[in-house]
Amino acid sequence: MELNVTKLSKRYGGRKVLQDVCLSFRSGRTYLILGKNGAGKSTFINILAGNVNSDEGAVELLENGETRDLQSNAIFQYQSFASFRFLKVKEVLSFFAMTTARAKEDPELYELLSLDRIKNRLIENLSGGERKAVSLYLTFLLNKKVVVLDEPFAELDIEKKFLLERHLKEKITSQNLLAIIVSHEISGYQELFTDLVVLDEGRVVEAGETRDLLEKYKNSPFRGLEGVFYSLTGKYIEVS
Amino acid sequence: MVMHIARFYLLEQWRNKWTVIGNIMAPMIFLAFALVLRSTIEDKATADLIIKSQFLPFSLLILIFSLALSLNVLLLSEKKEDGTFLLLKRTDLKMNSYLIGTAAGIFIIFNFFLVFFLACYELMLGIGAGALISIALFANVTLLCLYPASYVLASFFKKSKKVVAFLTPITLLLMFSITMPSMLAMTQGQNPQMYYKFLFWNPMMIMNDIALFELNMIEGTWLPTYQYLLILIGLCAALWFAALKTFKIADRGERI
Repeated sequence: MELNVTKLSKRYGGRKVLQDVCLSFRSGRTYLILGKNGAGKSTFINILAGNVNSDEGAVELLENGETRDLQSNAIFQYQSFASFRFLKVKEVLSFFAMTTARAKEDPELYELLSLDRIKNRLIENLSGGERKAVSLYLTFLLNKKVVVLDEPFAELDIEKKFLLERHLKEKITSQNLLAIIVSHEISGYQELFTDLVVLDEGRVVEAGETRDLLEKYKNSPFRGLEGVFYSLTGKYIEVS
Repeated sequence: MVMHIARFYLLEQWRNKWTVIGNIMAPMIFLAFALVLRSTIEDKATADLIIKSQFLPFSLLILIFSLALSLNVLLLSEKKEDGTFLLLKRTDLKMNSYLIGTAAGIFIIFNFFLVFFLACYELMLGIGAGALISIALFANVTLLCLYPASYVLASFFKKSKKVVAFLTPITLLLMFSITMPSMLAMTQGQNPQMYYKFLFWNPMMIMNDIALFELNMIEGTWLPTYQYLLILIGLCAALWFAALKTFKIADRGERI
């Protein structure tokens, strides 16, 4: 599958949030969208999700050259999960498994996110990290070909972050998913991201394979992806 | 699938029981006052008259309003706000099945409390089975007629907190436009139906008129039953049309 974004622009009032964004995403790869707060990352994924209309431009999903409906092939994991507040975690998971024909359980991810420990608790009573874990599991339970994750590592403990990175990497490759991840947490996860898109003030300042960009900006005063970002924007990336 | 959705909805409402209790608080207060009134006033005929002409119809109207409008408007705006509808759109569940399932849940909750309140008034006043069945049937028809209005209202609110603020003037409009003229007309010895030509748009008027008639408070209804049914069907169709035109599962541009 291939997701093509052409000349996407969005303005809120007088402020341009996205300007002429042109990008191409392919299955089997994991794209990191990197930018400071207000760079346009959330607007970009909300346009992909169909929650926000762009002012200009187009988003097209292709499979073997034929156009496919993006909304029915994509799943968007949001930063917080507040739906069905008075259902237990196991009931929410069973509800979504029951209502999705292609739903696919992932016992390893279930265990990794410690969902067994909270399965009998109401969504209402979960902490931010626990809600994030439910949201993340649901994202993969619905078994879509295009997966967009918003800060998947935030609020998870260090061990889980490490295990999740490994699991996502294996899952995205083995299931040939097209994954787009917005994350401020990049230190130590650069193995996961095969590609990098740097957004600054609504514009794409650089996009390419991570290893190529790391090589291109190897003389940056900072190491890794933080260094690439600094070289391109002259700014530090906030690490959560 | 619809029954599964209704089951999940009932489960959520059962665990979120304070919201439901809040919604039935007003009819519960009327019932409590009716009990106090009947046990303290010596002139039982006067007490019965007040309860039958005011307390009982008002309990029914506010129960219909609370469950057909308040509870569902709040539910719909919350689901819009927290992105539930957008998430459901990614499943194979048809949105209509979800909405019909929640409607079935509301219908079950409504009838549970309707039977409870009518049984209490029956024990207190001895209304008679025939009248109770007619009132219960019309209450359900009024609920069905008013239900799509919750979608129209929910389409105007982007935040669930605003819903609560706006429900009060809507209550005043729908409820007191019926009960206040009725009460004032009755105290002046006038027929409350003299105002009805101005209130035909309000389904609560029809419910009130039918209830007063079944409770032997008036000699006849303002319009024949079949005409009331036609008005309710017409109102229901107009509200569904408006709901289909206005209700969206998310406000684009709002959820960032």
